[in-house]
Amino acid sequence: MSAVATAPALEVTDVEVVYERRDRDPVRAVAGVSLTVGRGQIVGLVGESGCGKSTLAKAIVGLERPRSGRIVFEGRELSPLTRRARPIEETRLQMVFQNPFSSLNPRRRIGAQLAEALQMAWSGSRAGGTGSLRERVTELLSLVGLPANAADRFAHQFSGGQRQRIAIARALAADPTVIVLDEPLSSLDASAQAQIANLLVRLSRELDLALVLISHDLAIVQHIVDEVAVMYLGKLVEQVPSGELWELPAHPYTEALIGAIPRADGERTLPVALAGEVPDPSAPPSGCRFHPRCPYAFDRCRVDEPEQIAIGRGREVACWLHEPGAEPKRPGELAAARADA
Amino acid sequence: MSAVDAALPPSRLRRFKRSRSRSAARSWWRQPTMLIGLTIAAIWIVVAIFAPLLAPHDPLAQDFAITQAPSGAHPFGTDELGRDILSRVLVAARNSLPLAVLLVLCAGTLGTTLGVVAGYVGGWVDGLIMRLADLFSAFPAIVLAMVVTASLGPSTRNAVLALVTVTWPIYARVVRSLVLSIGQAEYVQAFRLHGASARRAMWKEVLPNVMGPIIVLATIYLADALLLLAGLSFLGLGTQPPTPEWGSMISVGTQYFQNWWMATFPGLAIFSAALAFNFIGDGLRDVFDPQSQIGSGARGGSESVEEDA
Amino acid sequence: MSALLELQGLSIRLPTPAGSRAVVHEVDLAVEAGQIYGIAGESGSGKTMTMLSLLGLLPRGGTVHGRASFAGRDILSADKKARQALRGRDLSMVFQDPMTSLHPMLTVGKQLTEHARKHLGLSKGEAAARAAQMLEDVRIPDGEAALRAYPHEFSGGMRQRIAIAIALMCEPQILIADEPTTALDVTVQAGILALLDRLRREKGMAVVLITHDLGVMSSIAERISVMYAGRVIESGDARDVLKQPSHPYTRGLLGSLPQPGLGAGTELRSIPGVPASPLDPPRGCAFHPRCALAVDACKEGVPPLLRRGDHAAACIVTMRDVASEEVVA
Repeated sequence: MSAVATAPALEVTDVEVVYERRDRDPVRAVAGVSLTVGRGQIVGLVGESGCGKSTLAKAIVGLERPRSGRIVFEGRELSPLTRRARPIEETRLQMVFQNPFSSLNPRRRIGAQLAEALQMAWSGSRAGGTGSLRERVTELLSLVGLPANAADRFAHQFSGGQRQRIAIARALAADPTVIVLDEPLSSLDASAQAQIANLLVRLSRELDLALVLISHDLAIVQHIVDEVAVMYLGKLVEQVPSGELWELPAHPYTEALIGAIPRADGERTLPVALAGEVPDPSAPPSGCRFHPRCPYAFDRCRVDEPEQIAIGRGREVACWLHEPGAEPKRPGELAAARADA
Repeated sequence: MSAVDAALPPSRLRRFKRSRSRSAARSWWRQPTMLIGLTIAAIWIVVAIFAPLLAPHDPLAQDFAITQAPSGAHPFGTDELGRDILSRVLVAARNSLPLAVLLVLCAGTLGTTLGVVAGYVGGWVDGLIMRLADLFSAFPAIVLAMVVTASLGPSTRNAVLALVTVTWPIYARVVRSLVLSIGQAEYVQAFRLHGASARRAMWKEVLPNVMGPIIVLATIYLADALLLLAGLSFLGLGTQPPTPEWGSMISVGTQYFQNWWMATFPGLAIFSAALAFNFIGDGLRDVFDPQSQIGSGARGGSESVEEDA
Repeated sequence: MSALLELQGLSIRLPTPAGSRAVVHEVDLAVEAGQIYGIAGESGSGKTMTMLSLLGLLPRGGTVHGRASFAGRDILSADKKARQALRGRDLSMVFQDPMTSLHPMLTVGKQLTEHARKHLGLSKGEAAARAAQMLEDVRIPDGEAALRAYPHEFSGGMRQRIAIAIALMCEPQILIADEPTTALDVTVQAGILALLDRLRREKGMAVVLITHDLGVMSSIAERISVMYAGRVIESGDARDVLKQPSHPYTRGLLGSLPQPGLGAGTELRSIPGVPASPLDPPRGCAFHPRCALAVDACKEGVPPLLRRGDHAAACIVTMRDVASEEVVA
């Protein structure tokens, strides 16, 4: 057991997901991604729409079949979902979906949906069934900040933020150690967004729960997470502790994402747009996938595809501007130094 | 519910959509059409049960006073054999209505079962079932039913059998596409991630959400069933004389078109019953819409839900 | 008044199962030519409804009260034809989802030119030339090819730029943009914001920008009105409102935004509770159940917009000094 206890909660290695299309080139939605999530750690997976982050999320929980690669959860290699029931050990890897309006059954009371999830966990003789089912449902609801009478209601009687709380409560019913959340905040108003963000951080700390938070909103993600993984066109381009992200983005794409975030400071400063469009993922650019939009691209970027290399402490970046093992620097500085040399 | 849309002809679809966009929060019983439909249907059910008591004459008793216009003694007139049309219309309700219900139950059960199997199992089984459905719905229902009854011999039982054969694809198609789309819904995926097998998810999460639309569809098609049965009888392929049946009464009545009452009154009976079922179907659609759960009084109402975040 | 678009005491009533309810209450605002005017608020605050009422696009049974004028002409009492002409030429609208305004079966070129030919009486050739120019203006590469393409062939950001191009074909004096960037990635959003700002500068076009995102608001708006439960609760110069927010709701919204650079795990200051329903708002100040500063008087009457110079807020607590003055006056 000691080996399991020290192993990371979730280990994703070289996962690749390909969609075959009739009469057209296949799309490599996820083109080889490796990611490690420690116990109780909150990892953010950030990128523009179409970068493959939602596909990766589905592949991690088994809703999508990867073409290659390994997903290891608590020391156990996962296989994609079949018609059979998922093994009970694997149900401790849970998911919260993007749309709180379609992720709850419209015709069943909230209490019934939570109770059902609890029963499935208990039938696997786990999660110590203390108290009645009803008490446990109330407990789950209070954990996400909802009153006990919410159990007697239907999904449509709640606001978007409240539904997202219910979806989180349902995931918690399985006594999970990892929850993958696909854009849990993007459909919510600002005040609900902040509430749910705070709730996620609190739950993670209280329950020693690891979270993989998938989002296109870097600003809110860096508030919540311990580490950010930035994805572009099916690949990770940078992994960085969120504390260093804002001050010192190492990849030009990360820098562009940060620059594009508008600030509510009343200064009327226009955010900086990233030139060009996201390329067609079925025909990614040669060399570095980001080079056609990169302001610092040089010859090598157009030919060779950069691998992720370690820089600084616990950071990785896939960019030719950086030297392996060197201290992280802003891409602009490095590009200027290159031009001088 | 788009699957239901696909199964309905355009005129129906328009009504289906219109009724759907109506304010969902209105209570179902406050809708005048639902109320009218329920009232007419209730009247017909009472009539069907107590027809022998209500009928002023023996529906089979012939009289020399043939083809009499409506009068005090015969409010709906008499037919070509001098039988009282009012009595025949009332007694025919005992034959026509249960037959229509039986037809819808059989076709609905068969269609739903095949649709679930097709949607759940998939692969070649799905292909086979759906091609069969295509085959049976490629011909006009009444023509195919004529072929079936003609080969099995005209009788009430064979008429129902024939119409089940031609109407089950409607239900199978709707159910299959509902099973497929609901099966992909995020709440079903979440349920599976909690350790439910595909079969359990089917029973617990998918089927309950399929049943609402199917009941609505069945009610609307109850009106169709009534018309199809009447059609077969009209062609002499369904209920055989002298048993009174609305369709066969119209059939005979049209041969005596100068005696307008012979076809008009059974026609009105079919019209009113069909209208009632249509209205009820429309109303039920709103009832099954989770947005308008009876008694929940909800308008996305989060009034009494307080958070302590 | 020199304002291009002016609303005075505009209220909107919508039919509900429980009878007619006011969802927008006495909105005053004045947009000047060449100005970007931001209307902020969460969903259900009435910000979209207010603008739809100007175009005659309210849901069935909805009624508008009060006054609204465009370039001195009354909009609300205008007949259908005059309003249609206004809607086509002088006043355009762009929505959150570009696919709702783009016709999927018509080429982009057709959609761009049809409108301009009808309203401006251009010839086919003139309209095509103008359309190509417009696409270049919104930075759609290879305009000639784009004119022959269909909406689905473009990415979300490009579709929104095409929708803006269509809205701009007749050179409207004012563009109403309802959450134009909410469905887009920040990288694309930045481009659209720059475009709107450039059009204002180069063509003197006024923009009413409806958004819940105060960051977006801050980057281009000159004036801001914040709405809550159907009322304007704060308005003023964008800099004043965002730097010194006076209404507790505006403060709460700003506080709940992530602060760039603040590290991981720092708690966001969220507003407790859920937004008030405009159909059934709490008595008195609609925000009082969620407000940390609320006093008993907040539950009594709806607070008026109290002015401190150019900056107004509907709060009797934060604007106490002004409140007493007004009572005296």
